[in-house]
Amino acid sequence: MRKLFPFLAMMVLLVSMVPAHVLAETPMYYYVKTGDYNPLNLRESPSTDAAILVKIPYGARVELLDFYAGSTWANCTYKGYYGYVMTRYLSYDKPYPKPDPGPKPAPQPSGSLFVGFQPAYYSAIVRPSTPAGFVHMRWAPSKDQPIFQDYYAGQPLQVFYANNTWCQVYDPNTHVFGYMMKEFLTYVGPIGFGEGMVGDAQ
Amino acid sequence: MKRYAAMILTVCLLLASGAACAETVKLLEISPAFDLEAELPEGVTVEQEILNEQMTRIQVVFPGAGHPDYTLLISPSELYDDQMMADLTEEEIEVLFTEVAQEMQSPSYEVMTVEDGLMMMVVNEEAGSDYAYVITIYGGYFIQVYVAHEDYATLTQEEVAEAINLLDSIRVIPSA
Repeated sequence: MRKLFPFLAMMVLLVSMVPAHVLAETPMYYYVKTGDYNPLNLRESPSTDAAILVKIPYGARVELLDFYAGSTWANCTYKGYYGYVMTRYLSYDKPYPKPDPGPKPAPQPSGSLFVGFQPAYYSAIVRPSTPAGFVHMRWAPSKDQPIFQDYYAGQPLQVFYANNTWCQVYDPNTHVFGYMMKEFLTYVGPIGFGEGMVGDAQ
Repeated sequence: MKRYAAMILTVCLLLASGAACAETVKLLEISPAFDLEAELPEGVTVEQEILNEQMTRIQVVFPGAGHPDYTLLISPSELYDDQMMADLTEEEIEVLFTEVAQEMQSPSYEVMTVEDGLMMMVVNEEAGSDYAYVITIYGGYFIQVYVAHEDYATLTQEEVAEAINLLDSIRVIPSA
């Protein structure tokens, strides 16, 4: 017992140094990002037939309770309301505010296509811009580059490198690398998070 | 209750006097409120697939080489509750175009209303890989025809017109 005491004391000391919020379940927050800046319906159950509990404004933050990668719906809470929202309208990053109407800036000439890429290493799911849409994977990070594969809502990919606009992605099912616009990818978790609850390690 | 589009296809031949024969493809159970029916040229084959809980994909393949692929995609929209495209304001139409054309290098669009009053938007990629979307919103459902060659070779006007015809041929049959 005397030999065990220092060990137990050390364990107690280590645990007490860990912040409480780490010990507790870490909440997952996402933001509402609708293409037309309209509010998003929070529904009673995961169906477009279900009653609308509240409309969540564009850019508002929600706390996810259940979110399975590839699922159409996520269970979440917003200002005391508990319900379901469609995952395709959620973004891990806070979206830009609705732009003021006015002249759009002229596109800037770009140099190399591969400027500004930094390591990223996360799992993501595809999020097309329209309900019946899909997203192109291209050979290089530019809209004028050839398309070689299309992806539908909820399909999982792994992001290896990213700049402000593009991601180099890897399809773990086809073992193919390509480039996809960052706008159409929703962060799920670090690489290694596969099927199952977002935030769970395999 | 989970909503998904369960597709049952029945094909029957229609005789059109003095014109090419057409096949009616009935798309059932898209919605509790209505069914869809499309008239397709004779000889086409149709492949259907339910992609996820919300979206159905129908691949329309024309016989012979050289035809582009026509993909019909149907999904309920959370943002267009029971709306038609004709219900959208000009600003909402502009936003819709921006959403559809986000991946295009040089997009253009045209909004048209066909004979039976259905409004649709044709969105074209004018540069690089050539492909086009013909879309409409019907009763809160987002219906889209995507047309492109397998190698994204340049589309002809006739090939884009075929996509318009395909969307235009869809008839809504209210459920009894």
